[in-house]
Amino acid sequence: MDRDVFAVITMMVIYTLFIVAIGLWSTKYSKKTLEDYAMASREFKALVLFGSVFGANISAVTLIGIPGGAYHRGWIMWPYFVTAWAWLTPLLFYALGSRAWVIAQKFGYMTISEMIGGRWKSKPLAYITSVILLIYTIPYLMIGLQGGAITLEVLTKGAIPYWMGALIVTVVVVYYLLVGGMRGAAWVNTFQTAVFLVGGIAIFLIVAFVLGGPAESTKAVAEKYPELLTREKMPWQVFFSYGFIVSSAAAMFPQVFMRLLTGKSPKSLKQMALLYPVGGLLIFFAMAYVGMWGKPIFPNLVGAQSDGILPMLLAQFTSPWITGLLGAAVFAALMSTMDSQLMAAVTIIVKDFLVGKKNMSDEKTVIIARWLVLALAAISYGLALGKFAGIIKIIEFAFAGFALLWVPMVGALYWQRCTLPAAIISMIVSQAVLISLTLGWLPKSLNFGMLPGVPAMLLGFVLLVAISYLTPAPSEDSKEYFRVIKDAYRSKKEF
Amino acid sequence: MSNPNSPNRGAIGAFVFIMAVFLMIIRVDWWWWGKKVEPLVFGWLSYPMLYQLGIWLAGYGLVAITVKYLWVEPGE
Repeated sequence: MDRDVFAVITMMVIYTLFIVAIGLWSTKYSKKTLEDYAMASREFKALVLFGSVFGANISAVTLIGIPGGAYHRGWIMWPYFVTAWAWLTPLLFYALGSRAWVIAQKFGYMTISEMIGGRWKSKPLAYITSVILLIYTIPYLMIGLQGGAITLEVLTKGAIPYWMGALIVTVVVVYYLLVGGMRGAAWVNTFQTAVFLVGGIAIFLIVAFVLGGPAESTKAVAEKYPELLTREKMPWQVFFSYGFIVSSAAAMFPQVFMRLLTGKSPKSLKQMALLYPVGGLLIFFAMAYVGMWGKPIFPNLVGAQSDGILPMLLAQFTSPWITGLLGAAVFAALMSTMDSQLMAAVTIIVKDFLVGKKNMSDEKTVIIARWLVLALAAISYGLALGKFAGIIKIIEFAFAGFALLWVPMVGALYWQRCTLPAAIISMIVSQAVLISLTLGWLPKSLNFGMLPGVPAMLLGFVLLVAISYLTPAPSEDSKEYFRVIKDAYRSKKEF
Repeated sequence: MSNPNSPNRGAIGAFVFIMAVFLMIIRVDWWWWGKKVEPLVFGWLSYPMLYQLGIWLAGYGLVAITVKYLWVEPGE
C-alpha cells in the first residue's frame, strides 16, 4: 500500500476508534427504556445540546456540498445558507421549540408526528406526517453516505473504492448507534462538532495559505472565472426563496426537532440558540471559499464531480497525516448528521407505529429500534450506490419537504381555530405540489423563478386558513395544548 | 432575565418579527447582483460580501434580543 494512503487510513482509523470509544462509554449511563434510548431521558445541558443540535444540522451538505456548490456558483454559497438559516432558525427554535418542549414534557412526545397529530388526537394525521418525514429523511441519509464515500475514495486515491467507503461509514455509524442510542450519538456529535469546526477552519487556513493567501486565491478566480464572484450563476429569486426553505426546514428536521426536546430545560435551548449562528457562519464561510478557490486548481470538474473538490485539495496540498486528520473532520460532519437522522427515523417508526400496540414492552421496542437502525442504514446504503444526483440538488428537494411541515405545525401550536381537515388537506396538497413542481408535472412557470418549496408553502398556508374557516370549529378537547402552555408559563400575555 | 409580564414584550416581539421579515427581503442585494465588484478589504472581501456579513450580524442581534427579552422559561 502507498505510504500516503496508509497515513490517511491510519488517521481515519484513529478517529473512528475514538468515536466508537465515546459511544461505548455512553452505555455506562444508559437505561433500558425507549425514552432513554431515543431521548437520553431529556437530560442534555447547553453545550451537549449545541453539539448535538448543530452536529445534527451540519452534514455532508456543509463539508462536501458547499465546496462543490461554490466550485460552480462561487462565494454566494455561504450566504445562500448563513444569511438566513444561521439566525432565523434559532428564532424559529424559540417560536417552535419553547412551546414544543412544554408539550413534549407533558405528553412524553418525541417526534414531530406526535406533536402535530396529538393536537387533534388524530392518528391518521400522525401517520401521514410520519410517512412524509421518512420520505425526505432517506435521501438526506443517502447524501451522508455519498459524501463519506467520495471523501474516502479521493483521499485514499481509490484504494478504498466508493462502495467500500459508503459501507465503512454505514458500519461505523450503525455500531455506535446500536450500543449508545441517543446519548451515545449526542456525546459523539459534541465531539464531532468540535472536530469539524476546528478542522473546517484549519482546512480554510491551510488552503488559503498554500494558494498564496485569500487575496491571491480570489484574484486567480477573478481572472479566470469572474462569474464566481458576480453571483450570476445563481438567480436572485433562487437565493431569496432558499433562505425561507432552509430556515424553515432546519427546525423541522426530525433529528433536530427531537434534540430540541432533549434539553434539560428551555434555558439550555436559549444558550444553544446563541452559539448556533456563530458556528454556522464559521463553517459555511470557510467551506464556500475553499470550494471557490479550488476551481483554478482543478478546473475540469463537471456537475456533481465538484463534490470531491475539498478532499482533492487536501490530497494535493497537505501531508498525508494532515490529510487524514482533516478528512476525519469531514467524516465528523457527515456522521454527526447521519446518526441523528437514523435515530430520528427509527424513533418515528417505533413511536408512531409500534408503541401502544399489544405486547409491546419498552425493552421489546428498544430491540426493534435497533433492528430498524440496521434496516434503514442498509436501504440508504443501497440508494447511495446509485449516485443519483449531486448533494446540493438532493437537499434542495428534501429541505423543501421538511419545510412544508411548518404549515400544520404552526396550526397545531399557535392557532386554536385550526381544524383537523385543514391540517390534513393543506399538508397533503402542499407536498403534492412540491413533488409535481420538482418533477415537472406542473409547469415550472408556477415557481415564478423561485424554488418549488415557496409556492407550495404559500399554498399550504392559504389552504390551512381557508379550510379551517370552512369546516366546523375544533372541539375543546383539541385546545388542550394551549391550556398546557398557559399553565406552564402562567402568563396570559403569551397568547 | 426576561420578564413574562413586561408590557414591552409585545413591542419587542413585534420589532423582532418585522426586522426578521425586513432582513429576509434585503438580504438580496439586487443593486449589486450579477455585477463585478472590486475587492474592498484585505484584497478579497468586496462590498457584497461585507453586506452579507452585515445581514448575518443584524440577524444575530435579533437572536440576542429574543434570548434576552422574549424567551420566557416555564414558571418564570
